[in-house]
Amino acid sequence: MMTRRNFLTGTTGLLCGATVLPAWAGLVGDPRTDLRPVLLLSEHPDPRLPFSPRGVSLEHHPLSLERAAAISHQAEGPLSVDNYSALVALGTPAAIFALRTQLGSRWRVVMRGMHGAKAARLHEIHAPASLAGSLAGAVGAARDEYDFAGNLLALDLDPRELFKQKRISRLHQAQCWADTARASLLALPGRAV
Amino acid sequence: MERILPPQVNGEAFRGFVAEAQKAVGRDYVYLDLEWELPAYNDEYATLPKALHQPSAAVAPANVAQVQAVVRAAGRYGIPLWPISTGKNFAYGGPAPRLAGAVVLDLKRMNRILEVNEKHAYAVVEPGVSYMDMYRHLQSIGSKLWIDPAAPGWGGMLGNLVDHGAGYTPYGDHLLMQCGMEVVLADGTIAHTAMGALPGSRTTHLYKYGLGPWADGLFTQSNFGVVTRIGIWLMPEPPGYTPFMITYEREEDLYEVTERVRPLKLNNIIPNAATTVEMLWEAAVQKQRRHYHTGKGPLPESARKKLRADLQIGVWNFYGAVYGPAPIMENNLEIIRDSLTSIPGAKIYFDDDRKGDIGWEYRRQLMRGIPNMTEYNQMNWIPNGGHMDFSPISPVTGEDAMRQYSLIRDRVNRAGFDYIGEMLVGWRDMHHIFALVYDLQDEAEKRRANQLFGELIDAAAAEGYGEYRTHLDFMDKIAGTYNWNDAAQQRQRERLKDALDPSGILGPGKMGIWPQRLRKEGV
Repeated sequence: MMTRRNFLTGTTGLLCGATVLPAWAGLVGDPRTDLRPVLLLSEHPDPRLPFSPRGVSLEHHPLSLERAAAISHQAEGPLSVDNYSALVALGTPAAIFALRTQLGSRWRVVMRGMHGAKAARLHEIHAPASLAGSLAGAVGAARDEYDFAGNLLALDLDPRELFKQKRISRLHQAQCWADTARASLLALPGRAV
Repeated sequence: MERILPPQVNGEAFRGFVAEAQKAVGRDYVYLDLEWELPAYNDEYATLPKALHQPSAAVAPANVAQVQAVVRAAGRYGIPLWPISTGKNFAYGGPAPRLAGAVVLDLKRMNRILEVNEKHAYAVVEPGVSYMDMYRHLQSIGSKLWIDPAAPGWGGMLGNLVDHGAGYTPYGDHLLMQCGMEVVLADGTIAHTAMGALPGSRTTHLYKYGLGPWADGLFTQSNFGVVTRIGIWLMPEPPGYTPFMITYEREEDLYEVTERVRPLKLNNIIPNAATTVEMLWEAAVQKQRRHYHTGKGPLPESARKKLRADLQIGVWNFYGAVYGPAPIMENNLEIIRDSLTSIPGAKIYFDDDRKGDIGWEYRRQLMRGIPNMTEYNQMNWIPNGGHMDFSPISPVTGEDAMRQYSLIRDRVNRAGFDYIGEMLVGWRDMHHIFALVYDLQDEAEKRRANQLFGELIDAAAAEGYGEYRTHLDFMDKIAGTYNWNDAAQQRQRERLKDALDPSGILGPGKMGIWPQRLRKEGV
């Protein structure tokens, strides 16, 4: 807080010139070239993935509604498509929605999941037809969202093929993951096209 | 998904515009892909088919010269443009255009903070600067200036201001705190308003009005130009800040609370944009409905009672703050306490009383100029939640508050929705914000929500209340209620539109204002 004196006398002039906003620095990684660099965003600070997917260099960062909203929407920002081959996010529906609207056009969200919304055991997957079909097993086998994330991270997808397909919605009856509605997202860099 | 071209535009003209736009801003910043790029410009919370507001393309210039080039190209080809800053107010349609086929002019790449003037307490920003961006910047330079963020804080400062948005500090009336504007007109000319029209002006952001008619207001909630830069007065950090919350037990207490708040606001005893918040607004930012009630229809009293107990809130919850040196705050708090806590059952709380309370914490931050996203959690109240905000203006009287509350609550409950509302008390009015939350995957519910919204507009207008802002779907309808003397105001606006934008390319349909060539599309 200012002192009473400062408040009454005003502050010294400070003028800053045109300022380009800094990128959000926390997400820039140094992925190994022999592995697929994949980014996982989730609420849990230390996600307990069921397994470490082979061939994947995993970078994890916490995701909250605040962080999702703070992510720069600029192409050259923190979620630069140059740094990762895929992005998986887990969170509340509001946080995942916020993240999705911040990703910009260089990421392509190829899968959106809504889990336990209509009913506790109901999982809705919205994805290109081939992916929506192949995820049926992953949803069915997953005990929780981190199980599901492990499966998403392990996918070695052909973006060019996926981007050609129409997206469809599939409903799956499976285990209940949480007592609240949850959401998930898988995005791939649009540079593949 | 098929591309929807603007009315009266053929494929050849569209392609001609796209080629010029690509030349102006670069191919990377002209978005055409219907499947993967343009959905980012849809109305995500649409209650009607998204195609009604589907753009044909989006163009994202990086600077004002590129804006000029795009506007000129649009004029040559007759392409309607829909300017957005950050496009984050999803309650009112987000980034989507009013007119299907319009090209979104996405200004969020223009995200420079051009000036922060500590001495005179103002900032100059481009359209892409969000409240969060500005807050971080002020922190990073050690500024002693506060911003006045909207809730949630990811919105653009310029976009919120020109859309007549409001905040929660003493600078809560955003348009009042605007000073100086740069506008690209429909012919591509750049204009500086008011004092800024004087070459070398030293007072562009210090005196609002210049000489002659004050034109800045014409570029707010309008389609007369593209605002590319704006001056915003910022609040010097006061020597002290004490936020407080008062809970009230009965629904009918709204009458007395409002009566008592009016003189406190008029006399600046409560200097900030204070808020009277209904309990479900409080609940929705931190709970999921199904933990209290799984049935359809409005929440039953038993569930409401449990929510109040769990969250230690009242049926109504008043948030305000005092600012300044300690003796002034103490004096004002004594007056406030005498007035507002003498209503039977009222309880006053301060920061120490509500540690760990999510609802308190985000209000405490907002009234101190710290942007946050907490309020956006309302979208978790029901799974797949979306919302539209119904926003009538009310006098600050108990009678009007109760009348508006009943008018909305009764219709909302009959339609099977919860009343989730707050009343934001300004200088002489209250912005009554009702968040109509619905399930985005329930088509019948969305239809009901849309119908209800229209009924609320009619019912409010019949009682003499008009809305200050609205969703794309209802711009024409609400503009149609402002029809005194054979809609003289509307006709004046149309004459202005025709004079300032004879090609009719800027924001067709914004707040019910259509260019002549498309006027039949509207009201």
